[in-house]
Amino acid sequence: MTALEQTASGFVTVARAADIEPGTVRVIEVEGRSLCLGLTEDGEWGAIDNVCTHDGGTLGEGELDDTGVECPRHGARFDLFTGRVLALPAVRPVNAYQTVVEGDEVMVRLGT
Amino acid sequence: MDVQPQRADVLLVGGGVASVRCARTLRRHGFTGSVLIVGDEDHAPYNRPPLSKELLRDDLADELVLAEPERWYGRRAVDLLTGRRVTTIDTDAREAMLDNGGRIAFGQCLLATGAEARALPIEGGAHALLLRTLEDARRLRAAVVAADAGAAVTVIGGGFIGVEVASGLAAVGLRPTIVEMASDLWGGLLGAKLADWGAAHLIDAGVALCRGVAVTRLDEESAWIGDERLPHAFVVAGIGVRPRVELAVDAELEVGDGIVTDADQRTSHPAIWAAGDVARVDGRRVEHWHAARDAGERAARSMLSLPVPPLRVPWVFSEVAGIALDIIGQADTWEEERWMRDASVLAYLDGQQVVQLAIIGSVLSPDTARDLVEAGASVHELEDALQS
Ligand SMILES: Cc1cc2nc3c(=O)[nH]c(=O)nc-3n(C[C@H](O)[C@H](O)[C@H](O)COP(=O)(O)OP(=O)(O)OC[C@H]3O[C@@H](n4cnc5c(N)ncnc54)[C@H](O)[C@@H]3O)c2cc1C
Ligand code: FES
Repeated sequence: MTALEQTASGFVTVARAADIEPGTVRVIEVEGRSLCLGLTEDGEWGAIDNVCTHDGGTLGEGELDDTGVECPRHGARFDLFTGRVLALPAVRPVNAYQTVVEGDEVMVRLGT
Repeated sequence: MDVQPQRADVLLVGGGVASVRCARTLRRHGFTGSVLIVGDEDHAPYNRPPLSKELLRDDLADELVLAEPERWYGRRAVDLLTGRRVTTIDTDAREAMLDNGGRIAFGQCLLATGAEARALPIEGGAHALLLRTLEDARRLRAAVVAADAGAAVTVIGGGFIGVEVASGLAAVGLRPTIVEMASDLWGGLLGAKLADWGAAHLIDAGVALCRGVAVTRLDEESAWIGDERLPHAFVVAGIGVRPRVELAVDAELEVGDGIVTDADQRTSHPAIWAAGDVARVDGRRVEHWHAARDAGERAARSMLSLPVPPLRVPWVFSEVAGIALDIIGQADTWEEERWMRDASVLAYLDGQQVVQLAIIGSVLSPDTARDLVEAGASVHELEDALQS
């Protein structure tokens, strides 16, 4: 992975595009934060917090189907682009982060 | 006139998580044949665990329990027929009959008909609310909303469902009493130490417990334990389930406590698989959410002649008075129960070997716990794992 680079607009490089298969998510540690980075089958990138708001499940170890990330513990689903809850048992959303790809670099905007 | 039957390359009977996971896995592995799920409920397949937890405590939309979102079926070309029951399976003709007279010819078939809640076999037993379906959960929620603050509720059965329901009722300000026939919670199946832990937390949360006694009769307003009357606003029973094996019995498949399958979910008929609560897989029937989903996946792989991974030890998750409880393994016997890591992990030991684990408050990942139990880890190896 490339060294961390914080651009003026607040985007940080978190992965290389080739590191992740379409239709999957993975865990990314960046600047002390744990993110769930995903690439949909339709080729869109998104990132949400890695920790499930239900009981701390690791979303980046879950499954991505369509735009929904499924928590491997009890099956809550969150939208990869908005962090909205799509299925119980979670009731609170997770943070979502704007994600762009430039060349081979996947960049996430961590700003608050 | 003889109408041509509809045809499905794979017919999934039963609209639960086992079926939907099977469909999903078939598609993930590139299966392009037709896949049809037939379910007798009026809903697309949904997750039942929230029914005794989130849905009891709050008014939440139905779509939040769906096992897959509605548009998933179209995206994955999985046909879904709801509100229709399969009444018989003709194994020679490889055809399923529906309750509206329709017929479906199939290439391969999965029986994932699940289980139904046992009714209370006592006088007035029909007064008790049961909890298996979304409709049941809506009825229970309506009773919760209608009850006065602090109203008494009788919960018959101190198993997973009874404990979760009582926890939820206490959380919304009602006064539940659990009546459990066995001398310990969970029917005594999880041992005295865990049961005592659970009892202490339930009592703290405002749940009353009557153990070692049975409700003998219900009337409009109360439960009776012999001559003792427990008045209540309503009563809920969670006394176990019965696997829905009728189709398999009629089709003369091998059936014991559940439809008998090998470790690859194959029944005694070469074109029929079984998975989920209804199946007795390699000698054991497991009634839990992860097991049902895994079984659906396994059946799909088996149908596609792909290697089927070894069966994992059971993992059930539950809640006690708002605290997460995971049970890993399903040991029939053990010699000792030992609390570890400040009484947040209970090890069930056979000699030095860990044969089952109870994890409180998610302090150990279920995956790690499964690895330990499957490897036949020693109590020392468990200690090491708890320290890291
Ligand atoms: C209230 C509740 C809470 C639970 N909580 C937990 C929990 O916290 N943790 C856990 O691990 N497990 C829990 N479970 C258990 C878990 O939900 C089940 O193990 C799981 O639902 C089993 O899935 P299944 O697909 O095998 O069967 P089911 O979910 O029972 O689905 C089978 C479906 O098939 C339908 N059907 C049956 N016969 C026919 C037919 N002939 N034709 C058409 N359709 C048919 C049924 O109506 C049903 O819709 C809970 C269960 C309940 C009821
Ligand atoms: S921890 Fe994610 S669904 Fe429970």
